[in-house]
Amino acid sequence: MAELLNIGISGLLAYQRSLNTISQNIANVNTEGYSRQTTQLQATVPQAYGFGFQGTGVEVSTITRSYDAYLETNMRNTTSSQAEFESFYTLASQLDNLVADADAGMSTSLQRFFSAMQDVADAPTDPAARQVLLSEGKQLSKQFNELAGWIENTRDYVNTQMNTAVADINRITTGIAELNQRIVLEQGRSGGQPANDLLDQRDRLILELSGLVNVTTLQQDDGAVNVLVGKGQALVVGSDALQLETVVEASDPNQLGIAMRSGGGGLIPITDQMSGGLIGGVLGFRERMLDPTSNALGLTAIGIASFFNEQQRQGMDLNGNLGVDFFNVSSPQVLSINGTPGNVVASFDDVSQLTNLDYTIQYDAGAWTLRRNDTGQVVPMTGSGTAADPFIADGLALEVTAAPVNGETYQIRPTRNGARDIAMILGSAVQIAAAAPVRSLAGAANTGSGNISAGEITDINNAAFQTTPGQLSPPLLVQFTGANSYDIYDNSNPASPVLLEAGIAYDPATGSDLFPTPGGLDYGYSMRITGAPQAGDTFTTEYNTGGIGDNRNALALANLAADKVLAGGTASIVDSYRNLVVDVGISTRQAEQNSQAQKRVLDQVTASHDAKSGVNLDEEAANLVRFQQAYAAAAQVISAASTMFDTLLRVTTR
Amino acid sequence: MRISTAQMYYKGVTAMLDKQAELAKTQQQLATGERILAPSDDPAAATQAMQLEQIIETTKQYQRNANYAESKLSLEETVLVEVGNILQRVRELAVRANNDTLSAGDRTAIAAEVRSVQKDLVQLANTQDANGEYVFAGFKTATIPFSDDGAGNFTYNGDQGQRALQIGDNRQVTIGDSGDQVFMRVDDGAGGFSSMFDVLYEFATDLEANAPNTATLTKLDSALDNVLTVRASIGARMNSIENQRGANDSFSLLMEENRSKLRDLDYAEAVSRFEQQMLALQASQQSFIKIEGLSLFNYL
Repeated sequence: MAELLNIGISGLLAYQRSLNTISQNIANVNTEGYSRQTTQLQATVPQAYGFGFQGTGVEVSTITRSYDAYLETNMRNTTSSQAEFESFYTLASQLDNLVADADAGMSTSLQRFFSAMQDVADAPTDPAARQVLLSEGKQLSKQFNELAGWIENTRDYVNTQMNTAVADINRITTGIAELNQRIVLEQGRSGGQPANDLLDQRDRLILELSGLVNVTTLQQDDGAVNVLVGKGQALVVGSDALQLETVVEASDPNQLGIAMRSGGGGLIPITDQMSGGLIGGVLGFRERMLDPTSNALGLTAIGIASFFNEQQRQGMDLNGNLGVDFFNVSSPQVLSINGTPGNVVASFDDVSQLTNLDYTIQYDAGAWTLRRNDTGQVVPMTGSGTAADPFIADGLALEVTAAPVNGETYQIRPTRNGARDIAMILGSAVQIAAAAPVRSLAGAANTGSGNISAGEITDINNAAFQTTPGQLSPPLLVQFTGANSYDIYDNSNPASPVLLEAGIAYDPATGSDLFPTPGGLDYGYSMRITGAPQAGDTFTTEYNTGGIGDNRNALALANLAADKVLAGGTASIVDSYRNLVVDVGISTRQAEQNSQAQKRVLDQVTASHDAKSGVNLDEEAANLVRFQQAYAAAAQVISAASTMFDTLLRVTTR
Repeated sequence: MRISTAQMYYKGVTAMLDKQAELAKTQQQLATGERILAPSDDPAAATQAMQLEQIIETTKQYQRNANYAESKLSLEETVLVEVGNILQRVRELAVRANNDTLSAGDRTAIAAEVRSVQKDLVQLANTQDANGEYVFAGFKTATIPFSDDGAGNFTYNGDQGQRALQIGDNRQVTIGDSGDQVFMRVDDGAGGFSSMFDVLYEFATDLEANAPNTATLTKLDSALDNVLTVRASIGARMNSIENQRGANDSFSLLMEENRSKLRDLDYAEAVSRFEQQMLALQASQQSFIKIEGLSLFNYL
């Protein structure tokens, strides 16, 4: 009977424990990372008798949690990828919206600037039209500066995210290390029983860490878990957590990287080892979207500024002076990674060949090698790197100013600051060079039907324009000696022209360039004679003094809107900006699709994980009923033992 | 498969959130009337729309240029009509002056009129437009093109430049004709040229000497011919502007239609999508409430 009582009591105790576990499950139904627990019951050691073994009741062997290491790892990895895609997408859509909002502003500014240029071409002497062009030019460069500023704000935002993420990682790894210590202690003290709730907490922290960066874990025999990042760089070893820090990157003073404080106190950069998670997404965004967008905007700004300046220099302003620069153009940025700043100097060789890439140039084994940063591909260079014969590649000219040593490395960012630095530097509307500096005249007494074109500038640096400001050196006289031949004279002194070239053949059927002889006369401009001049007919060329109603150069400036001057002659300035918007749009759309797809994968993986580990209240309710009944039954056993005891007492007291 | 209570809740909530996001986007499309809210919505269409936008704006500018060219040419035309009238009047005077019955006094009177219209003619040739530019000075639009020393010497101070305006992608029209061309190249009948002013000045001098020269009539005819030729060329250019303007208009219209197709929202489609999404959201809300209400604990 005592046995009956003991068995009953063991049942009561066992079911009380089971009910405790169920109430724990119910209480933690909404606890993130909680794994459903189960009280494992087993029959106690039986008593041996001659007739066999008599059971002695039930006992709790252990309390387990529903947990599958494979599902847990799967969820960590998926969480990592999902966080990576999502943080990439969040930043990308910020940029997308920025470009979309700015699109109206930037496109409109470009359009208005070139329209104002057309208005100047319509009425080159109208001071109002000139003033409007000047203010549209200011507006355009301001728009570039602003958009560049907004894009660079995104870089600051990325830095902020890195700071926050690194602080989070340090908090989490410290938490994991502490839990490691407690788990080792508690499990040791309980003789190896699993410390379920602590294990859940630790898994929860590792999962949270996976959302920040991709990690791998190594289970230790004593119950601790080591956490590694990248190619085996340890973040947590047993009860120690290594601290990360953000550091300003050598390759870019405007952005942060991640480093680890080493045992010796030095900082080891580990940015390259960081992949996956929020950090992976943020780094990927910076490299694959932010940099190219910033560079592409810079390229557009540099394109418009340098081509506009070039054309402006070929013109003549209202005061009869040769045109001067309209915009300020930024220079390529060179950063020293390993070497003396200033040893490598970069400048633009040919703006039409520039790309939106960044490069690294390195000296090794007696030779310089230029590589694109995005793919690491070698970019072939011509030239020898001296001032007279610089290295030429992708529109850049690179000059090495001091004898290099092996390992010298520089980062070159040709267009990064283009949009930030563009500014309108033309002082006054009078200086807009709407006219061309040369004009042609047909002689007053010409009897033939010959015509001469107004003329185009081919090289403004020709001595003809540069020797004496406001003069053509020399002005020319063209005299036809017959229907098919003419002479060219230096007309500096119209009273006695000096013969320069005689007997130039002329064909009235096709017309002829004024200076048709290859390697012959070249005064930096071209004109064309057409029609049928007669012997004695003359044409003259001279500086366009007073020719302020001329709009030849203004038309050329206005046409820069559509001229395919960038990307090796495949894109106009306006195209170049449009390509930027499209690239951002496409990247964002891709990021969105990736993020959504990864979200669905994570949902699925989470569902499988929860199918194993999650708490279901209906199930707990059912178990509650089941164990309540068992508890009641065990109580009945005690009651039966009591009745039996009473019966026996009644018999013995009779 | 086992499903946890938290998972059921999560799924219900996520479904509602997703549907709300879709609904918000449709609502924004309806509010703006635009199908593409950010370039990422449809990168290809967004680019095309931008490109069309640029073409439309550029074409608008061509229309402005065309209007400007037209007003410049009409001014020139008006001046040339006046010049023609003067030459016509002088021609009548020349015919009259050649009549043998006229006395020296009559001829002196005619000469006075000729002197006066000759000054008018120089003034006309020195006409300025609304911007203060001399119409017949070539590129030297700030230089008074014709000077008259009062002794029969007329000098052209302009040049032979002609400004061209862009009125289509591949179409330029020249506005203005140099004064040299219009006024200075009257066939003098002797293989050379003289100016219109010269012709009038010499005519008056002849009359004052009571010795009218019949060659004057020929020169006047040649001057009128010159004016008519230039006017015909202006007319041709005005026609060409008119044609180009028509072409620009229909091109713009076509581009605007294309842009609208790319960018604008199909309201019928969007509204029915909106209804559908609303229905879906309601359904997920109702099912959420129903499912969340189910629990075994309700029966314990």
